[in-house]
Amino acid sequence: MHTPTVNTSSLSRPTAGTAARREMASGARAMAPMMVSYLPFGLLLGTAAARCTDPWAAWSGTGLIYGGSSHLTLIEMLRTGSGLWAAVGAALLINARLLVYSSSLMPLWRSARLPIRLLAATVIIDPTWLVASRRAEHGGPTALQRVHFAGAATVLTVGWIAAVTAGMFLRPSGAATAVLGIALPLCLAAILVPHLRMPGGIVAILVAAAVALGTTTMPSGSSTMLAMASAAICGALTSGRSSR
Amino acid sequence: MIWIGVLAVGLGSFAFRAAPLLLGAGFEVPERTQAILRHAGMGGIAALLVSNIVGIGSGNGFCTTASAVAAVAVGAVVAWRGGSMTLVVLTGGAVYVGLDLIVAALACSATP
Repeated sequence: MHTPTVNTSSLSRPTAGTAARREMASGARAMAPMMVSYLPFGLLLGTAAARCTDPWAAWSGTGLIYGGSSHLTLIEMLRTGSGLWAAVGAALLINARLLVYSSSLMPLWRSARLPIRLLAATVIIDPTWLVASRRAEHGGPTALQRVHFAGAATVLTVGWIAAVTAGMFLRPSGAATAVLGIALPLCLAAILVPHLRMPGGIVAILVAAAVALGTTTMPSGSSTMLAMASAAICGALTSGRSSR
Repeated sequence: MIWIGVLAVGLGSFAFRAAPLLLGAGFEVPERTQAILRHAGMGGIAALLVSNIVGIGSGNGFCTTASAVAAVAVGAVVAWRGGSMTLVVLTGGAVYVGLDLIVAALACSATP
């Protein structure tokens, strides 16, 4: 009797490919709703970039900075006449949290080749970190977790660049200008609110807001830097006290 | 000047992202430093929020500032309750436009 032989290597290759494709799609699906919620912010960032003296230089930060709040802080501070290095310092301090995100993703990328690690580093930001952390909770092979991250990062990158670019070409008029004017503080409020739940977060934000309000006559760069320093000191002191 | 700013922030941000992945286990950010960095970053965003509201109000009068503050307060409540950024913008935007219309109607009726 003839016994059929099964070539396991030829079977495992397509199975691994299918699993990777599924994981990629799953990462993309996990990112899609978050991307939709970031759309107004992307559009707004695009309109802010379009108002700059060199719009395409401002737009280039979409990929180079790859962080909406830091990018917006830089172009708004430069637009309102802050010094270059004050604006750069404020934007960098806002992005300093990426150190924390990147260190927590170390287990995922530790064993990857250098070019892959560098490529992954370019897209580490709040939503990709969140998707990767949620995926890590479910366990499974590291390779599949990386593919999940890649799927999520692809959706975010394509969607984010498309939203900012579309915002560059928006020419709002009348009521739309008023709505866009209020959309910026609303987007910023949506970014700030989760921080209120962190120990010392409420004090940090209230102090920063009070300092910013009290220093409106100062150049915007120094006002922002003062607000950041006050938030860091008061937030750290309060969180230190509450954790004791 | 914008190019220099974008390149400097882009390079700095990439360094923040890449350093832990390149340095591996030798890299560790103490918890207290993590908290200070987060508070400072959020302080910058809070300052940007305040300067934007002040900007909306300047030249438009107290009512516009009050409408903007009310819209942001409603948006913050929506965000606190877990609403997405889109929902925050839609709700806050509706409050702002609604209040603006009410103020305009009241101003019209008060004009002799």
